[in-house]
Amino acid sequence: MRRLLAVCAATIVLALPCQAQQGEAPLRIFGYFQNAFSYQNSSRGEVITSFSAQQLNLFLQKDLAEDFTAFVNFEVVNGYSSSDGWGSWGLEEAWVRYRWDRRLNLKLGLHIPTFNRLNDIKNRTPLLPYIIRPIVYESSFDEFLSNDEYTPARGSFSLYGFFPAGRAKLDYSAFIGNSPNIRRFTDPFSTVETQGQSGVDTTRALQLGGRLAVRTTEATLGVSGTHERTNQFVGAERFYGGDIDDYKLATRYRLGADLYIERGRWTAEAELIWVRYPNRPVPLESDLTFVYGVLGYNVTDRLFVFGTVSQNWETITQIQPRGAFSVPIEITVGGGGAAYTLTDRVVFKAQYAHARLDYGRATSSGISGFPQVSDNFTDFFSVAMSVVF
Amino acid sequence: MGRGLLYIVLPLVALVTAPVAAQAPVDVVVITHPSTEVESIDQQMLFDFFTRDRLYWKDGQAATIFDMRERNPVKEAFYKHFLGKSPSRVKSAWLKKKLMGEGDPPEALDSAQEVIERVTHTVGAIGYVARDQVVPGVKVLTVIGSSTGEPIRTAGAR
Repeated sequence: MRRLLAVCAATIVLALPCQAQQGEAPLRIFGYFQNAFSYQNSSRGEVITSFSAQQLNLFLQKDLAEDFTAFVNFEVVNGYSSSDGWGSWGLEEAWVRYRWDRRLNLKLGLHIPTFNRLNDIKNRTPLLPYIIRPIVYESSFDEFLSNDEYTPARGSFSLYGFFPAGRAKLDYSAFIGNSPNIRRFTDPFSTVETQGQSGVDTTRALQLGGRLAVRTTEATLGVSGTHERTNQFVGAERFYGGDIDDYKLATRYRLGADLYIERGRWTAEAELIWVRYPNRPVPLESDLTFVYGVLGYNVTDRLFVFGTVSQNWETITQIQPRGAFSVPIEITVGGGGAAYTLTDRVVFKAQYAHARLDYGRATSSGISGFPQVSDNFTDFFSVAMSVVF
Repeated sequence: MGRGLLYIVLPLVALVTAPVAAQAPVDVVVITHPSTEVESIDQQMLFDFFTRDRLYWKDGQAATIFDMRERNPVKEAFYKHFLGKSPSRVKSAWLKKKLMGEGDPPEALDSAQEVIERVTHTVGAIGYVARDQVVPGVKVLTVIGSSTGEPIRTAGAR
């Protein structure tokens, strides 16, 4: 695998100078942002009305040669302010692409891997009619939902393209990236021995994944999968014993399926994601399942209305200094909305969503007294403006 | 009373007949640079060129696409009959490619004259205009229906 990466990298490096002789393309700067206003009313009686700069993405793109393009994507979420301590700002993508032809493209560098239909466009808000995206794709909820467990977040090398087959096209994409065991400055289990450069994979494992799809002008059907090793159970060995390597390298795989259909003015789309830990080192459930569906209708060329429903069945595992526990949670989100395209660059959106959380009975080691919570809901009314610049 | 009735009826007649006038059939043709070595184009290939899934002709020549900026009967007829999609759906595909770093939308021009001018002077170019606007210096391509295998016409033959 490393030999393949080295060969591809060498191909790109050697080919670049040969093609870069014909003058330099301009550096292009563009992007988009989405500002929102939301009213939230929860079953706990909490009411929130708030404006927010939900998302801003800034792109830098430069054609390095006829078939080589460099692309950088900075992302700002929830009105990032370092001085006030809110939101986040990060480097989402920094890659160079070599396009051999439509059947083969190579992408080398940090990028968002293709998984199901939405993963690589989940943060491209102007492409989506939603303000609150299907919940595992909602980046502004990353602060309190473990969305990275559902979908792969970072790829480092991808092969992708499509093959025409009559009136259909066969899309493929395969990627390699880091496992999710990225060292942070604030690792609760770090010791002097384990401290080191942040932002690097701390294991010898890599993440592998890909998607296959059949696409026509009116429908797309795809299947996706990833395989990786995660250290998310590290710390639980103090309570359950066993080999530490089993905790550092627990296998996680995801399977996904996606469907999109366009018929006249109607559109329908659906996705399914399974996340499984087949040899988890702790006797705690940790599986995740997510499904969503959207039915849309183009009232006019500019106005799109939709109804959506999604469901998560997940068991979150928490490792704390005094014990480990897992809690089954069901999250149901239903609602609808509209998107109005004012110009090619400005889209107004409105959405209502009813989100309900049900906590089941916790399984624990060393911790007791978990309340069982059901019928815990929040209503969201949101309006937003998405602007491409 | 009679004049009052007229004030009501006339605008109603205008309202009812206006859409009919707007939907009058327009004979649209796809044009290319004279050096392009084909006489016809498959509807699927045309769709792929416009959605930027396909960037090159079979001989390796880059295909430069010219669109019309404003909505007009010629543009409506082209998208409806040749591409089978509304302009907004195709624009969504372009925006996706742009925001994914995969390519730019075609250049949109202000008039048929400008489309003809640019196609005439750009090797590999494709555009569309009303048939009665075609001038020497561009080649008219027959668009073949992918499902029927028959030439597609946007209006009755003239």
